[in-house]
Amino acid sequence: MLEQKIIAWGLKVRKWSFLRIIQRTFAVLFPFILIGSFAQVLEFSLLYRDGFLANLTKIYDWLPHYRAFNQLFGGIYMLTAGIISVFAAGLAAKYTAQFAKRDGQIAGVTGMIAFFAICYQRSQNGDQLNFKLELLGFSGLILGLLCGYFVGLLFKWASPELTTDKEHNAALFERSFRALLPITFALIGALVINVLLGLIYKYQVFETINDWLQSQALKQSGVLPVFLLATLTLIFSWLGLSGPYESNTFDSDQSALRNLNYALTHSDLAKVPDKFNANTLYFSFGTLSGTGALLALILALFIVSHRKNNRRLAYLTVFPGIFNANASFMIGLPILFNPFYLVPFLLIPLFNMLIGALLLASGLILPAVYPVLLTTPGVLYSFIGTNGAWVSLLVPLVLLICDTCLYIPFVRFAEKISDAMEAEQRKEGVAHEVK
Amino acid sequence: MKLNKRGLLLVGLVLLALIGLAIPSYNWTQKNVKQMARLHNSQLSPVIMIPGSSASVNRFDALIKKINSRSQKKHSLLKVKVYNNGKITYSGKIQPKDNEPFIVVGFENNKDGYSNILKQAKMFDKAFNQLAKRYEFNNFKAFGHSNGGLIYTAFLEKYMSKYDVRAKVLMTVGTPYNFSETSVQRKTQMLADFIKNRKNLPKDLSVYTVAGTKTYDSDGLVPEASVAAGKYIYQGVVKHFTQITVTGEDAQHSDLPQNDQIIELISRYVLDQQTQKSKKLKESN
Repeated sequence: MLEQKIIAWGLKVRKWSFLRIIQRTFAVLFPFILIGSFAQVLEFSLLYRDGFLANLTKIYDWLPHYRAFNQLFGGIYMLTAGIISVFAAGLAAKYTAQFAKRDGQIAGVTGMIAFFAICYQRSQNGDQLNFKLELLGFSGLILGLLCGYFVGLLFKWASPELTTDKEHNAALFERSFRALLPITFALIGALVINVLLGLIYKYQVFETINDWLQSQALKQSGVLPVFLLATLTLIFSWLGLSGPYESNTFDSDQSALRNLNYALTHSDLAKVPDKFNANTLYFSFGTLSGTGALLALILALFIVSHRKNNRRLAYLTVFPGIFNANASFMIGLPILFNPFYLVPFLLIPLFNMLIGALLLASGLILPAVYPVLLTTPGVLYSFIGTNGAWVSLLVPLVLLICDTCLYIPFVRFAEKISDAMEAEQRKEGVAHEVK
Repeated sequence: MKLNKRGLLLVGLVLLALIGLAIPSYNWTQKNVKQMARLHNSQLSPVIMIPGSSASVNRFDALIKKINSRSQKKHSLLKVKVYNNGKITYSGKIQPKDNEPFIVVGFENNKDGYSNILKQAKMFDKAFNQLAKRYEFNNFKAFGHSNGGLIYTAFLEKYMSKYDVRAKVLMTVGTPYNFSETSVQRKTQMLADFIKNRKNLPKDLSVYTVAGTKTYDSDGLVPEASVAAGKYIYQGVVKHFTQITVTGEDAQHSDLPQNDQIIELISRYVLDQQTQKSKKLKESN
């Protein structure tokens, strides 16, 4: 039976050691990312001049020192979600070492230091410690996890198995001596990677690829390129990276500007030059229920989840989710690197875009060409972008409900897999569980 | 399948919240689009210049430098060159906040003669088409020196009507509407054609034809009577038609673009005047 097969497959995937380590790591990171997500919404939506809530409430007119509040929440965001990859490296190292019955605590600290060593940048004046900031945040998550995983493996290979977990002084020292070898290897390895990364940065490999993708995203319009770039963007987001459509801004998108100019001159949206571009398809329909349709997944959890933790997760992340700040939800469930959720994460947005493209082509719905505020909820993008066409509010709302229904079978399968996993663990007893 | 009732209620609440947000969003976008449309319609208004025969796109560099040194507003300069094979190259740049840039359009074929003027007008049409698409201006000001004025006249009569763009002002300097003929009794083929097609000229255009005089009847190259022949084309069709004669220093034909009086005339008649209202609009941005 198909259902049985999927559950068996899901169970197998969840037992991969790397995925298990990631899940534990994410579970510990979750509260920090959640606080970061709330701070992010407040910073960029409520307390930012181009933010969605700021413009609806005109907060900049009546809240004294609103810039100071912006900085406060900016600081909270920076110190939680902004340096999350460092903690990810440490935790991944800790859990990898613990799975192999090695010293998790020292491995954890080594993982963090190794990741710092990878991101370290020599500063010009010498009195500051400099790091590549973009790697410390969400976009460095995959690097941090891998770094931690390999540090953990180093402990497995280069230090003996722990025989006792007593923590009195002599035993601790004993453990420290044994950790010297893996720490040294980890540091040397990390610094070698640092130099290699430096070369990659020096020759601007990332920038070149990214610039090329960005320029394609800003240049290409038409159904097929938009679908390809949207797919790429979604896969990138699933890996915690930012894809071609992530940092899209109106001001540099030629196709959007062409449309806007046409609309402002002729005030007739039906005949804009580029009916199918990033704004009219991806941002209007592809992200109408958030990146990867995650708001729909949150709603699906509300409706059918029977696991208490999942429901609680949904309650906590629905507010940032409405404003498409999904980091906490992606880490909490988790979605990131989770092959099970890759399928709906990709297909549901593409399904929305397909419906959108058909409606646009038939002229039943107008293309969204007007600028939209930062952190605007996806459902409202097309409505605002068409200067308030009511059909463009109705269609996305209906699609949001459709997306929720589409996610429901996935939620049920995922929970069945979790149940099966727990049942198995209970059978085996807690012997394998590591403290 | 078991559905969670409390969950359904929450979904309903989220949907209601989103619909609730739609109402202030509607007000915001209506206001924003209105404001944008207003700005858009008064924003970019370039001065598009065509140099005379045997001159390059650099012909007006000194003129623009002088204008920029005298006003607070710094106009940017874009040079467009049209090749005989239809290729169009750009150099220079329109600064993002400059809503009154200078655009100089020059041609690989910059030869004299009526047949060349017609070719150049056609090439200018191509360049103008690209410029209008690229920068989406809905109005512009035209400036032509010498034969550049002839190219403009041909362009305005033959091609302008197909554009959604308004020509606000045309200033021609030392333009020989009757080539080197000193009397309108002897009309050249070109002048005869221009007069024949004058009804196609834009009705809301303000035209200034400027003549320089070195002697009492010529700027050293173009007879004053040939410049004055422009009235047979423009007068009575366009909104305003003004003839101006400048004399004195730099009034020789090829010095005219650097002539201080002419720069004065450009600032006054071609460039947008900084009114109180437009200043206020800028500040509110």
